[in-house]
Amino acid sequence: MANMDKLRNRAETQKIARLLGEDPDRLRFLQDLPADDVRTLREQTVATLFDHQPEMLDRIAKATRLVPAGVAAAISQKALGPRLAAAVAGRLEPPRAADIIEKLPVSFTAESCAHLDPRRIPGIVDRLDENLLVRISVSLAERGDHITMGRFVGHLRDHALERILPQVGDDSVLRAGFAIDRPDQLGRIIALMGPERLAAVIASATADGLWPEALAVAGMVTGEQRAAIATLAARRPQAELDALVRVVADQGLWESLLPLVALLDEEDRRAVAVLPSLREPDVLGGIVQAVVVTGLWAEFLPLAGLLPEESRKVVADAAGRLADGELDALAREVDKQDLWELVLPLVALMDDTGKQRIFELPAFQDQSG
Amino acid sequence: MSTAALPYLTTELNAPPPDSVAQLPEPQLQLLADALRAERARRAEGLGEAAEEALKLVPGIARGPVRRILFR
Repeated sequence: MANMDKLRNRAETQKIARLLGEDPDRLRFLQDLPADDVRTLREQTVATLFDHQPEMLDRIAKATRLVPAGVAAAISQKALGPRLAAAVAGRLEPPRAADIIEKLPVSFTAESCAHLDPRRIPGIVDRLDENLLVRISVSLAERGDHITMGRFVGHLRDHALERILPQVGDDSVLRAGFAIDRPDQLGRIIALMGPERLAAVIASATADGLWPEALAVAGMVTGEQRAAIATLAARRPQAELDALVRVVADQGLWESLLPLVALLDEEDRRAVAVLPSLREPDVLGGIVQAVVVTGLWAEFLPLAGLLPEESRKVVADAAGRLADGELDALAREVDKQDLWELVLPLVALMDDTGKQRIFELPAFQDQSG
Repeated sequence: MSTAALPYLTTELNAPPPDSVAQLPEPQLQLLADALRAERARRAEGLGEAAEEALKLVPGIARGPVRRILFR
């Protein structure tokens, strides 16, 4: 989904950085690439790191087959350590790996999980005792290892998730959701959470500085769940909502926020429109630029219509100052989406030069004719 | 446009990177390739010593066959 690329790339970059033992900031350049390419790069990284390993790992894996699972567990813990133990587990058949894991201390297993071949996780999760899965998940949350949680969580069964969710903090839920490797499973997890917990999780976004993570989670679910998250966010106290808008403005996340605002009913949208941050020319100018780039006019114009008049004037002037090509693109998009009714009140607020430029656009001539 | 760093990254990845990655500036391709190489080295680190340690934990009866597998 194009409008989620920025946050999706941020998560993918963090995952690649983790795989490479690198600082995510050094790999920030990946965030500007097409999301599918960054995901492919991550998959290639996983494949090359886990498929091309020293032969000694295969030998150790083969040797552990000759000893009871308890001895293999002792070898994992005392001789190999978490990283090599995970590498060996990745060379074993999933049932054998699960037998050994069940004999290891949970803290060791949780640390090892971070080094497991992500492609092996579904097979291993499927065979582990649920009690153990719950303890490992809670341990990962306690360690703050949300990237590993994100690898596991989409593979956990409903009953295990129902036991894990009450034991992990709201911030962990948002962070693991942001990092989830299987976004198609997020709807199921949110449904298991129930409306009260979802409200608490969204409420935690301001306190924990996690609005980007919350926006990413909202962007990965669909339909009623996305609308529910949008409404929960819009009904937070004004100061929190204002903090959200400022984060979005600072980080250029309008393409994630505007589709959510478009899902709000008029009353909730009005709560957004009167935010102090949406009176600031820099913020408003940033929205116009973002809308030009993303074409999200249908998402933005209903909000623009509810802004205070001075804010609408700023938006109108910013639109009136767009370069010829941008203005032409705007007009074509507005025409395509049949949004002239929402645009004309803004045109009325433009200075004469801006109005003249709009009236001279072929798209406008066509529609007025 | 990249020259030496792209083949280096392709070697480390064992595959040609996606187009947009391949078009990154040379220093960024170099950084990715170096990071892959360093991580691979970290993963191999201490493997021989770990195998020696593992052998000590194997019960006597299985030690011979395990040693043959590990150090043939």
